[in-house]
Amino acid sequence: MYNVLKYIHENIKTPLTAVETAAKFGYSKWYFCSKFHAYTGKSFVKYVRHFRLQLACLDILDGKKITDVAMDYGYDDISGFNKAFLAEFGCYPKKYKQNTKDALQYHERKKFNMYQLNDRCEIMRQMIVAQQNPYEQKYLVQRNVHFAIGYGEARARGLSYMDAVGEGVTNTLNKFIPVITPGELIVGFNFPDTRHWESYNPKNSEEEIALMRKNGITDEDIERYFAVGDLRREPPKSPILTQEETDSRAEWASIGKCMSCNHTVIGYEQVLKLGFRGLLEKVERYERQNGTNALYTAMRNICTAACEMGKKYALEAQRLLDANDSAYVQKDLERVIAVCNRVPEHPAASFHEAVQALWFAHVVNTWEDKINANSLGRLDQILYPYYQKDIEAGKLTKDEAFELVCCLWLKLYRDYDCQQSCVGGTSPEGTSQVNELSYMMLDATEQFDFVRCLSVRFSKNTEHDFLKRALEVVGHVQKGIPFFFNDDVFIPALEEKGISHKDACDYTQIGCVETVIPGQSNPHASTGNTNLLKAIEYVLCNGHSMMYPQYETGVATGELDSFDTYKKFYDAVLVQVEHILDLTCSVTKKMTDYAMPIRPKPVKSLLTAGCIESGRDFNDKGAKYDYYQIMLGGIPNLADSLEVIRKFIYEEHKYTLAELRDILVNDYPDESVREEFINKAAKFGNDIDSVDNIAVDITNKCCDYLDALSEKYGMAFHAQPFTYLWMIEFGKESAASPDGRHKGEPIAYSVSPMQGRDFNGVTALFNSISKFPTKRTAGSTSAIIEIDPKLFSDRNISFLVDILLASAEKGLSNVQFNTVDADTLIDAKKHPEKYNNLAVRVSGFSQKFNLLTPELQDHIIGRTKHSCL
Amino acid sequence: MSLTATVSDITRCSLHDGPGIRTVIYFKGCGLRCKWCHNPETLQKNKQLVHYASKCIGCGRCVTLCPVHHVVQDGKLHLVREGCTACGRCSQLCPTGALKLIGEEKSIDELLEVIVKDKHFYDKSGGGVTFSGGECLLQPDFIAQLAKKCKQEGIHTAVESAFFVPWESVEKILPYIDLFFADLKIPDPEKHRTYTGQNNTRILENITRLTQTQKNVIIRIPVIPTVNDSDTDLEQFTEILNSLDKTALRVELLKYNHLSESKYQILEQPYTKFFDAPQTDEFMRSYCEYLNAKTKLPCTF
Repeated sequence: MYNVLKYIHENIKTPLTAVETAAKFGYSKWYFCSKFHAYTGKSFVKYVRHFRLQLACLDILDGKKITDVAMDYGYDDISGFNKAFLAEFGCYPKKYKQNTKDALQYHERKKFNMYQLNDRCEIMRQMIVAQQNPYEQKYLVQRNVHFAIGYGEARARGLSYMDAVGEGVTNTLNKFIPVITPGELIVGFNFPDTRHWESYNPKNSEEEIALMRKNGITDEDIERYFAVGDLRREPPKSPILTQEETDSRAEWASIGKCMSCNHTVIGYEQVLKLGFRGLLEKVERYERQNGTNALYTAMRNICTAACEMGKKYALEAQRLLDANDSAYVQKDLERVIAVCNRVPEHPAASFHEAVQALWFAHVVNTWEDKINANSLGRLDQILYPYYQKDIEAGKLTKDEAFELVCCLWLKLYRDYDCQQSCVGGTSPEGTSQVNELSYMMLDATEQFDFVRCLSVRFSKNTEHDFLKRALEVVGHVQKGIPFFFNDDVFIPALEEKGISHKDACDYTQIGCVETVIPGQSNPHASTGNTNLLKAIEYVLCNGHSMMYPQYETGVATGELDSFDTYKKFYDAVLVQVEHILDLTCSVTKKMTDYAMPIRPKPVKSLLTAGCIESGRDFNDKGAKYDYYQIMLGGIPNLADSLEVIRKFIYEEHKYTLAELRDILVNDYPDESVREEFINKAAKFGNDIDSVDNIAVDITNKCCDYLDALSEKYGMAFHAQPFTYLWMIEFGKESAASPDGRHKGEPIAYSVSPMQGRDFNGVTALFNSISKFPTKRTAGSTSAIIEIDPKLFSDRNISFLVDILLASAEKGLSNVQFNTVDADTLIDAKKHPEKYNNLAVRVSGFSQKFNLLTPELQDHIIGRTKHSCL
Repeated sequence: MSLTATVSDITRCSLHDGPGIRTVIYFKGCGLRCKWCHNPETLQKNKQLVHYASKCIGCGRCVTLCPVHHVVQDGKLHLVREGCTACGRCSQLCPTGALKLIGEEKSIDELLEVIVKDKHFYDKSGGGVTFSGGECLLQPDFIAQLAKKCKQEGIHTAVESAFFVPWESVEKILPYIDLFFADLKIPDPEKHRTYTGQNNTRILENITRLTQTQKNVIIRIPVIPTVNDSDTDLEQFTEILNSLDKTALRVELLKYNHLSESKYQILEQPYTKFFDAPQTDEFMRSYCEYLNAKTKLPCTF
């Protein structure tokens, strides 16, 4: 029906009849009429008349002659038009024209549950889709040069890393040249990645020096930039690891890291409520109380510089205004001047100021450690009070609000973009927090079809209409957004980790699917990654890697003949799993200790609860909540493999463990054996308890181990069954596995079934993934489900809502949908030129299909595409 | 419970066999032999061996096991069906599933276990379970007991049947079934015999009695080109529909297609094509509108 309405709106000036329209969409007349009525609450004729008159009255308000308007909309004579108009509006057109314009358009659009992009936003959208932003390089060179100068010169003077980062950010803030793009109402840049990776640093060549000059860097600064040389870089990353830790890392079994950069959601509300001026006062207050230190100094300098940020834009807008540049609209510039003269220095006093202040705060945050996955969080919740106040005061119309949301959306989404935002959610009292902005943000996402990063939080109390709308967007945009997070499991999972109920209810996502308490936590998102499938290799090779026999990366659990029962084999696997996790955590600990002093984050400290108060840096455990997410990869393959071993070796005695080992070492010399392992043993994802329960038990054990390791290392580890993109690398570095997976073949994504091994239908699949102990895994238990685009039709969308809610009750955690069918993907691989804007859900983010590696493309093609019969 | 039934397939998450999200259970065995049958694998009560040629990797395991009935010609596997008892040992051995035995003995509890797995989806969507076939009413005691247990679990039940069974069979299940799909294939008794092997007297009697119970009934008419889509057929359908108790009656037209051809292939049985192109939506719509106008019954396709 959505498409029908679209058709009507597009053809409103031509004669429309129910019969023809019904035929066009393949409905019978009666069915169409009843359905149309159910959807719009009006008969076809009434609806069309109503809509025509609404548009006609807009034209009249625009100053067109009433007789012309009547003709335009198919009325033969003026008296018929007047009569219809009277019936619709209770007055004649002339009289109506005298009345005020009001929020008339909004009133009409609300009925379609849809705000329309206006010309301004549509033009800017087209520029982004066509990748025609002439300012990109300017953005990029500016930050990277000015930061390097500030940072490097401070290091050269022998100052601390904290001082250096502070100087880097401050210098960028002081030196950047503001750019205002024609049409934009929200100003301030962050970085593109269409032509350069964001960590691009100009080299000392004529060509690149010319580029720097072209982008407004002075010769003096160019000299300073090259003078700091390598000092702009951080010291080498790695602390000393043991041989085992090094080898395990080399074969992608366990990779401990310290994710200390660019994965945050900061406390934007602070900037909105206090402004950087107010924040400066807060810093000074605590500095007096606690005594000064390098962090306080850095925060103060940043606040002071950030106070000027808006004014620089106001001045630039004034310059453009004075220059009378025809590319700009005078009124837009005047608005920019008014807003930027106040924020981010002062508290936001209007919705426009709030959006602008939030964006400035985000830019400052990304200037500290680049964009990557620095995310925005719960925008509908943060901005709603400002929206509500302006609407109630009559200072803002809903269309204006939508336009501002669009202007913010236009900033966010580039090629690799995981600046995640979130709508919806559940209050500490358990009620739904969906508001009008949540709907607007879905509308903006749908119409900006390049957007690829938005999540929806829902619970059993979320309005069905909202979920339906969100799923409609999935179906219409066809890029796998938004994705869905179940509050009924995330909130208790976070509480189990010691986070207060109120704070847990405020959770949101970073980048892909990583859980964060915005403005209150340092989540060290995706800090450790593990490939638990390696456990099988270690048991079969008595502590050695099967892929790389020279590595002794597992535990020597004994010769194969000692495993005379399945239980003994399984226990040995668990020993290896624990070992992999321990290695990951121990390296994470080393990396964290190492990173702590060299990667201070004064901006994040400024906007994360706990840091100002304690005077401790964000990366020095200053945040109120400090935890480390350990990714659990390979669980579906491990479960499938164990089921094969249980069945063929211990139940049917068809093969011995030694035979199995030889088969795997030689990567399935006999194809029929591989087929047998694939087809004759149950596989995860089909709602078959014997194998699903293995996956569940392993996950539970991992949670136990991580609890114990948290004690051992004095750090809070959160289980996060999520592979990011690394199912490809994990697979590449793994020997053949008993689940029928060839050597080098990618493993399964997160907790999705191994690609192509789920065939019992959508409900069975949802049941399987809902069995995970999601209330223990505070990091996302992520799954991507491939669904036939037809399932997103009007008829079926409510079934999807039912499936989602029913699964959520059973414990579903995070789910993302892909809606592109396999044929399209195969064709897109062959003819990339035809599919420039085709994007698919890859991991916790969507990406343009053409930009993926061939391995990833094949992995996605191989996932089962579900339909319903 | 000692009763068992032979089941050819279980489909979960069906959206087209009754309200909401449903699990559909296909029982084997049917008293009719409709020439256009869509589920030919359900006709025989016995288990049947099917062969998915595209899945075969030529490993030869089946030939070694049973060289009498498995022969390799031109590098391809051929089944010698004569004398094959469908013992199923070859399908157990076949690593790829290219050889498969259609028909599994299932007890009531085994089926119930599968049905209950999706209960939360039924509850949310107003769905349930649908017993189909084949002719599920050939095993009325089994269906009655299974349906009774489903009702005890609070699950909505539906039956898809051609009603070519004794009325007593219908009576047995009546208390436990919420919704009936009744196939009405061809109105003329003799023509019915030509295309299905039986005349439709008993079927019409059963449907008449069923509607008198005022249970929810949906009459399904598979519209088959050249078989039952003439004006005369339409008039006769109208007459039949008008003779029924309409209290809780609806009509659904099924558009016929060629999707079942592959099923005939794996059974290695000839497939009869009644037409080249399926009916147009327009045709179906006019058919639907005609019935609707003449019978005043809700009619969809």
